[in-house]
Amino acid sequence: MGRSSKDKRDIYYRLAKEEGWRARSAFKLLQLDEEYRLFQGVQRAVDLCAAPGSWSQVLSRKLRGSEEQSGQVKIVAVDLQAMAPLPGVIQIQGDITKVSTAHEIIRHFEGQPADLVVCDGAPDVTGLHDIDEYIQAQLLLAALNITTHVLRDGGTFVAKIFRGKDVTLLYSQLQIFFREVTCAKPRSSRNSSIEAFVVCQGYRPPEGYVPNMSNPLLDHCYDVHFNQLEGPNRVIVPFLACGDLSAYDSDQTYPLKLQADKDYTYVPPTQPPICPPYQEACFRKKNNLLAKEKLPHPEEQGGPTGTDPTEGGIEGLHISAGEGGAPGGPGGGSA
Amino acid sequence: MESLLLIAPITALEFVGDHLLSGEGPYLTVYSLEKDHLISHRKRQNVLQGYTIHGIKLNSSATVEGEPMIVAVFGSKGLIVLQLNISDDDVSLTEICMLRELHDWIWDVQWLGDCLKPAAYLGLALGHNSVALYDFLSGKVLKEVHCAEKCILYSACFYGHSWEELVLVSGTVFNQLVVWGVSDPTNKDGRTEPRQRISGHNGVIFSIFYKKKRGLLASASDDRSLRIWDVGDLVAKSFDVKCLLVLYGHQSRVWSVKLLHENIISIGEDSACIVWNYQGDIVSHFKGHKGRGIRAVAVQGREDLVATGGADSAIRLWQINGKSSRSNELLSLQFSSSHSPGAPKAIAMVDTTLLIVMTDLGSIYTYDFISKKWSFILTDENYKSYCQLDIYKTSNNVLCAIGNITGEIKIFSLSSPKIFKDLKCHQGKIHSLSWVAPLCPGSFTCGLFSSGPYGLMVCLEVTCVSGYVESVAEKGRFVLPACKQRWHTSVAFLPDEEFIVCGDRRGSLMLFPMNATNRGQDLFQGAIQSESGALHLKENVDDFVGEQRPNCPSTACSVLSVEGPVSLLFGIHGKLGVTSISCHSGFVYSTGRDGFYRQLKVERGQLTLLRKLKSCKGMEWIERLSFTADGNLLVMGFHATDFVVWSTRTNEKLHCVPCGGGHRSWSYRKEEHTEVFAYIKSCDIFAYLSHPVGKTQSILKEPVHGREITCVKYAGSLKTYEHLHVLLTSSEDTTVNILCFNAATNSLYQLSTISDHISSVKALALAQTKPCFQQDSSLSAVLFSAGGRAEIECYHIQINQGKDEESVLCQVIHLASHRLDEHWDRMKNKHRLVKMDPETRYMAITVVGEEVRDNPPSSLVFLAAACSDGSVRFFAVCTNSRKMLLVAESFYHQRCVLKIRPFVHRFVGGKRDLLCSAATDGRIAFWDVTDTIEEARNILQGEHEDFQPLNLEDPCFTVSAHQCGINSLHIQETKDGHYLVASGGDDNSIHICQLTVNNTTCETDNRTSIQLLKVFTVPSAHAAHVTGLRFLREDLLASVSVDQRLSLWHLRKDGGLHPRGTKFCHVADVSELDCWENVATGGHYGVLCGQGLEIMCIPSKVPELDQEG
Repeated sequence: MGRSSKDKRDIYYRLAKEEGWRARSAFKLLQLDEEYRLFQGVQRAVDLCAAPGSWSQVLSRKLRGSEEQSGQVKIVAVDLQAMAPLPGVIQIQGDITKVSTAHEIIRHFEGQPADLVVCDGAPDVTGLHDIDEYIQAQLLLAALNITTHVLRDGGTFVAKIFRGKDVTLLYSQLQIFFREVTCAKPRSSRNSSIEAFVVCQGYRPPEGYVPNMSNPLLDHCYDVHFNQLEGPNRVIVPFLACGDLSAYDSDQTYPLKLQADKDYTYVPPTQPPICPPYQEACFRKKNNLLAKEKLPHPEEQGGPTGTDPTEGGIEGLHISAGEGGAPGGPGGGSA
Repeated sequence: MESLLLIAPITALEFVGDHLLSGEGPYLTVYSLEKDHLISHRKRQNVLQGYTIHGIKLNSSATVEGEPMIVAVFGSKGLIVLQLNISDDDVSLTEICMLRELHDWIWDVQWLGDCLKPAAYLGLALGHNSVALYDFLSGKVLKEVHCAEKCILYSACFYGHSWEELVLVSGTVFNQLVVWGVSDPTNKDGRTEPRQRISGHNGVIFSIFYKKKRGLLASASDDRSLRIWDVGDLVAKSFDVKCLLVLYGHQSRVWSVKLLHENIISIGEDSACIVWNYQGDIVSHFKGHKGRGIRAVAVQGREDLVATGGADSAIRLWQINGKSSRSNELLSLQFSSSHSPGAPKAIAMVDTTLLIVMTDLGSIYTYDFISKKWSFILTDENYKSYCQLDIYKTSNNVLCAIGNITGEIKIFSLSSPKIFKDLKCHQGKIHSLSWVAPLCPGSFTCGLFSSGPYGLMVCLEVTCVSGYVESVAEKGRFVLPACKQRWHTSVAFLPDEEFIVCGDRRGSLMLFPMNATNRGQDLFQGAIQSESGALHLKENVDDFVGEQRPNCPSTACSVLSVEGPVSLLFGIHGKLGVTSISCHSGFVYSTGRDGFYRQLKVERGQLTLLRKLKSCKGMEWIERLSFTADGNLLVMGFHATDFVVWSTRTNEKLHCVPCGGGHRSWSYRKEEHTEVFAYIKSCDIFAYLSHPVGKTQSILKEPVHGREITCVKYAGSLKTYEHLHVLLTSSEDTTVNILCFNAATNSLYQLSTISDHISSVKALALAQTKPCFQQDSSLSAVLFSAGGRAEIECYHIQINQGKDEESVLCQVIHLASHRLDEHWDRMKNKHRLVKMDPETRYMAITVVGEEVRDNPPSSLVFLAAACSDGSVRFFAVCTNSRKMLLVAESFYHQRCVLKIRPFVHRFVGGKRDLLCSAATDGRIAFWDVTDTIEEARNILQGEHEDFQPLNLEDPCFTVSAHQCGINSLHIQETKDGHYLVASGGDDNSIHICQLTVNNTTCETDNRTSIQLLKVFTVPSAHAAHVTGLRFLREDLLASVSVDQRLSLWHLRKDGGLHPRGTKFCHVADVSELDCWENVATGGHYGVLCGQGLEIMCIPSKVPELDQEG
């Protein structure tokens, strides 16, 4: 497996590198926009959980398309981690659960609310689906909570969602705040993935709703004793596949040579992961520095350990013992 | 609908005295561990309904012997308090407080007392760093306090026995440990400020454990490390924190940590359970769970037994605290310092107490492990510097044979070495010498095989009477196939004594008849002539073969002819040779230095390969197999420079001795429970001795698959016992399992496992080779498995009823393999065609044109595959010649093809084989493949070496059914001759189209046209991708989805699909559904798979749903 094997397996990973996107997820936002025209008339946009910054990159390229536009458009990217700067993107290194972060966003917008809030944040999955779905739901609700502080009425909110066992609870919760909630899947998101996006249009909080970040928004529960767990009344929002059918298929295996007139060249990633949690552990693993179980060793050691002679020579040099006699299992221990 | 069986990751474990409680999905299971470690499963109950159990907390304040115990069981937002009654004849679980749903995730639960009662309330650590005081009798939250550090937690750990002293250590999403007292004064926002924030980890915290006695806190993290912090008394308002240890030992993330009196225990995603001491050294490293990680760990009160639960749904037990299940020691036998007898060159263990050594000076010594003394046996100058040694232990004696460089063999018994037989069997170097046990035990004779130059192998019969060797007679001469290193390495008699099976240094396996005929002589000469540059040897050979061998001790032995093999599998074990051959219950097993062991059968004088198997990863040198009395198979060999004994049942290394590798002489013996492995290193002899200490059954619950199950198929039921159903599963762990579901006991057990795939297995297909229900109640089928790296494997499986009621026998024969890149490599040499990509994944496969197989002359089976490179491919397998060929393909879809299904259209005077394929663009294509099959059949009957894949003609019909990928597809023929094609999409919808097939047959053209009659869709049938669909009847459809629901739909005559009921299922990431009829009730069984496996019972009458969505 060479460095090109991931290029073979994942066409969007390869395209992202070739087109200079920081992550393949850039295509997801581009394809969502194709269907929903998310960027139309947007002057102020917020990217939550922005690192490594591919969605901010899309916002930057798409919203600041022409010269005269670029002056008026303001993009704020929020993440706990710092990320490499992007043209026209104001970075806030902060926590989306803090009201101070909301105030800072509004300050950058000179007191004006945002037209669009996007969030592509996802936790590192643990592999236990109920935990992963819960954590993702909390992340989405934290994003929704800060959104209620910064989004204008009628504004749009787009966030990643895991279509798991309790996703209908989130749908019903989002419908409280938005006129129209749909579940969208860009073609660059894999068919087998549980990932999808909620596109929430027409922000209209319930009457008298006061945004409040002193407590987190909690997810809903099924009504009385799991009645709805198996009942027909779950809230399932409409689904929309996004992106042109002629676009590349994220599940398809493509040959490295995509076009007849162009040879494949390897492109290194635009931005490798910054300080992943496993960095130290991987370094130790690679350099054989992980702790190991001590195997039994005799008191005495040393002297030549007699490394193996070459295959051909060994027979002539050696006296060897055949193992035999075990009923049903006579074996040869000859060297 | 009712759930009959669930296999899911084990997510919680807790010991209660001699009982172990486990959480698997919402099920709490009670196992009993008696003193002798006999384990029984005593009770299983769904306690958390839709939630998965993540924790079990025993109220330890009230553990009076015999008194009922109270346990809190929790997971996600659900919590239940149960009374556990354990008596000798019964285990019961009764609700103290019914299942409650909290408003947030529960990370930890603590029993709290007040002045009146030791366990009056529960403290609950909740998802956003708050703590609730919970009255479990009323099911009410009395109060809730919040920490000033408000964020999502990944773990939490309580300490304290009353609300007043209760302290929570929470593991935050910001990689910190936050310690706070729930009764501490609040700040102006009404929140509690932490007493301490502990930083150091570089990832989120997955587990926290506090050990009051040692004043230590432990944490496990996403950064793959464990940290041990000296915190002193957590209840104290202020304390200093010092990081004592940072432990890196896991290969992946660490899920949980526990502190014991002497040890630290950690479990992780690498499926390892590591026992550390407080110096930070690894004491034990338990590996045995399959696949992706251990999820739960518990330690018995005496701290000598650890239970682990895996993502593979297995539960295992391990001995710790110096009380390992075996005591192992490594001895240096001080060979060179005790005498000056030369350097040890060959060793052999007689039994576990006696070792024989041959030195480079031609001397033989023995070592007695009991008296720890060396004894001299004999010296023979003729045997110095080069010698072959083998020994054989008879009931009352030990026979030794040594062979030298000039072709001489000396045979003697160890008790009277002065009486020996010297003979010269070969004209040159004895390459190998091996004793073979006689077939009838207690016999005075046994066989000795020696290999000399030119591939000549001689069989001698040695008779031993009253302690010395009486006679040696030559019983046969054999010639091995020509090759450079032409000598045997292992020999075994077949039980009927007609044949011997032999393995050689070239890796070949062969069969020789034991009765002498004359036919072999020419063969031998022919073989010698064919050796390159062997001309000058020929004269030697001539007089050697014709000679009246004066050295031969047995005058009764006349000139024997030389036998060639009657059956030969040349080089099957690779160039490094065969290492052993054994016979076990009717099969022949061989091992080799290619890292494989093989199962073979001798039928009609021919050696046939059935299967090729591997042991643990990286063990490239297999020496020997040992079948234990309790049905386990032990594989011995070398893993790099270590000698390893691998247990196939428990999937672990029982022994690992760093001996330097297998090239120098070594020997292994096992008797009763004592095992000895002796080896030469640095001119000395070492012995690794292992004795059992206590008997421990280490597997409490068997694993199924180590990673997600991608496909499940019902294969059939056994006729005599209709409650035994055979299921097949494939998994991302690269294996395929053959399982038996016993519907009488609702239990599932593994019949066989297949692990030939190099990448994840995604799909299975089955062609029954005869009707499923036979008089003899056997089930016979051709099985295909396909998956990543463009690999298809094909097997013949045969499942029979055993002698007693519940036993089922399963035999798997590997028929053929196909790899696209290999196919492409073959093609490249002949044509310049570059199209294949080995990264292609097979997404789905199906057998096409099934009936053809009923005709015995044609053993062709056709397989269609949906491929990730956008193609639909056709393969043909000839089950007789064991070959698989790519016969046709089409790149019509131009997108990843996800599903494929066949159907047959019958009409008066004929039938057409049709196929439909579905891709990521939501389109379904219908193909008529009758002519393709016919054409391929004709081609395959002739020469097909140069065969180029045909082009499938374009589909005869397409329908756009979904917005995006189609994840499930099923077809049902209706009574009026139409076809219902149901598809389930990534877009949450179910789509059904009703079709009619018309066939216009004229002389020149066979045309099939498909007409669409009706379409029904349910746009939001599920809340996530619909991954499984099955028609139970033409008006009843079952569907499953990643939203973890199994739904039934009624297809009304007037059109439209109406919900008929939904059942929540406990398997996450559902990937497939299969259904079969429950003959007894007229209803159905449904099996679904994903992160686990669940079997449901679907009643025959589904009530009309009164509510309409």
